[in-house]
Amino acid sequence: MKRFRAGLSGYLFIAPLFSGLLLLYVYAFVQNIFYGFNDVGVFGERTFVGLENYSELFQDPIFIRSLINTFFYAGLGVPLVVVISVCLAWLLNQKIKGQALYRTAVFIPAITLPAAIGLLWRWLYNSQYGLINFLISKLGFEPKAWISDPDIVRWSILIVLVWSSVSYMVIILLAGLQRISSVYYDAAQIDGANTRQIFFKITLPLLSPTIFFVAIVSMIGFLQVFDVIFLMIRDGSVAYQYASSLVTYFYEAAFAQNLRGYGAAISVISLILIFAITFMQFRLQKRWVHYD
Amino acid sequence: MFKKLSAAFLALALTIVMGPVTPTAAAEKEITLALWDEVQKPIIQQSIDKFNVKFKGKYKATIAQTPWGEFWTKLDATMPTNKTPDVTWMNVFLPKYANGKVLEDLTPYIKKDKALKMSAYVPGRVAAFNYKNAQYALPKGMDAVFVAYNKAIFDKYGVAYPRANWDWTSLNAISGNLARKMKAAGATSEYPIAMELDLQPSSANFLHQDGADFLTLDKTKTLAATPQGIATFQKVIDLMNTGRMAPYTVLSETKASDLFISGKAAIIFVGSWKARVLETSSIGKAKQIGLVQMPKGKLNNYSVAGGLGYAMAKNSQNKAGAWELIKFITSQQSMTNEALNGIEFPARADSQGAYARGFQNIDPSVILAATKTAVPYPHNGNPASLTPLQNAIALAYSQKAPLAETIKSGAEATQKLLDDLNK
Repeated sequence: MKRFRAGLSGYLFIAPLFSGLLLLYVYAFVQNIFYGFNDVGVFGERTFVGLENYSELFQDPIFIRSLINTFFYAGLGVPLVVVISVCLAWLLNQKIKGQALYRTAVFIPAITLPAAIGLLWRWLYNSQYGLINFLISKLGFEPKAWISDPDIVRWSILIVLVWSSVSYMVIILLAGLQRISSVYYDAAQIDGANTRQIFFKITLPLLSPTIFFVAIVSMIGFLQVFDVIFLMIRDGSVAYQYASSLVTYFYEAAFAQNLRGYGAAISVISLILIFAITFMQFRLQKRWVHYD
Repeated sequence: MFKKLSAAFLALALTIVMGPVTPTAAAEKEITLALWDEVQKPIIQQSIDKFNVKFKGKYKATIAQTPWGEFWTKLDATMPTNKTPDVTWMNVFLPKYANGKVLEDLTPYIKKDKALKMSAYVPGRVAAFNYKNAQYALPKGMDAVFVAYNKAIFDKYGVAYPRANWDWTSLNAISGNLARKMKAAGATSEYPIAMELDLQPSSANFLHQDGADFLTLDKTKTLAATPQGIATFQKVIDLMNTGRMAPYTVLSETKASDLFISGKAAIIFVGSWKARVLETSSIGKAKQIGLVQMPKGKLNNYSVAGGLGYAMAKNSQNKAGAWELIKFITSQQSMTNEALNGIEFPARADSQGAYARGFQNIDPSVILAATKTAVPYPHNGNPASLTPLQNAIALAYSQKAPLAETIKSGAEATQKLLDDLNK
């Protein structure tokens, strides 16, 4: 009691934030799990259905496709983001002319609204008037229907996802690079190590905690992809079905079709997935992450 | 200095404590009207202003506009509470709200109100807001689908304009003719026909005109997978595959109406809600747009039509005022004003004449005639039940899967959900 008294002012200080957190996150989180076991109507009326939503989910071809697509985006996107952003960060860390300019250019997508990114790429990708088709036809290639051909739409989405998440990761990695003490580099140089050896034997291992963070954050981001798909593909196009991710399908079910309980079940699956993968990443980090 | 400051401070404090100086009429009750269209808002505000003058001291109405994207989500969240808007726009989603028991049944109000003549409203639109023998809304306007064509493109290729009583045979002939001539001229991004992929201004009409309704009028069955339904989808796919219509990829990236007003498409199927866009477009101002009824299908050329209505929330804190507002904004005076400003084709006969006066560049008589034969838009207010069939239609048009099988499995899934609903 005495200890509580002593901490009272502290609790009072966090109370406003914490009550919001309780109400908007914790309560909603628990309620969402509960809704997954119910058929929930738009006005809150509900009937308990047990695991019915979940058994329906795994017979629903669109859900299966959304699940596969989500693995596709995350499975290809995260490695690409990690590799590209490490390379870019390393390049931006070199003493080159116009360094500030390059850094700014790389960082711009990170401070651009996702809505703007989606709409901009929608125009770049347009099969009739888009800049991309214009350029590739100048180079002698067949123009493509980037965001309406079901066979290529997932790749088009992937490109935008990687492009837009790389820039933020570069900044984090750049900070990580600058934290590495020059003592190591000096020692390696005295020992006669070449640039390649320095990169793989010193830079990468010492950067690994930052890379690990980047991998975790981008994995969670990719498993929750929504806005780019939602904004780039027009409603009613078959490409939307083909590009669908878990979160776009959640939105479709819960808000377009008014199946709130079914939507809740989809979000629970997505939660389990994110949790499992993040857990695995933490387990595996012992093998490759070096903390100095 | 200090004295001056403290005096000012005191005055400020007093103002805050005393509140506004002007006395408010405590008896004036607030009424909120929820709608989504920012284009219509200023015109409807004119009617609201008149309402507030008429009921001064009694009611004060205000508009709460929420964009379409969030409108229904917000309505769903507020309607069960006492913060609900008193009056709201309603459309084909009505059954959802009626079943959710958040709407007031207006039948007793209508019976009690001797001055109100329900016969003034178009019967089909009154029926559209009648659900399980209860009237939930008074109709506002109505729409219809028709065909617009770009005279300049027809003239350029020397092809005759569509005639008033045309059918799909002539549509095929005209668009085939245009396609041939466009190809000969080397036009690559010009198309004879464009259509929206949404069902309302396109497929839902074709299906009804061929007797293979997307959803029957009693909303219990879909006929889309009947042999006739499959044939209807096939004739649209044939248009795409023969260069008579823009390919699927183009239609799924660019709105047909945008292709049309930018002079890329010679013919479009278009809804009356786009009439204002056609009227004010540059090709409209150049008097290049011709209008004609839809081409006749197997049975007829009737279009499917939606339309809005005004409904009252069951949790409204001021139902008497809400009822007065609903009557006032669907009155001849208010609807004539909307028609004159070209924002709505009224669902009451005594205001419809004004609609024609709102147009100089396109021929409103075609729109008027189309509304005469229009049938209700096939929707049951339960999006989940219709989604499998809608997805199947999108897939079939994209030709990524065989037509008949795709439509059949989509229709089966939708039929099963409809049967469950109607049990």
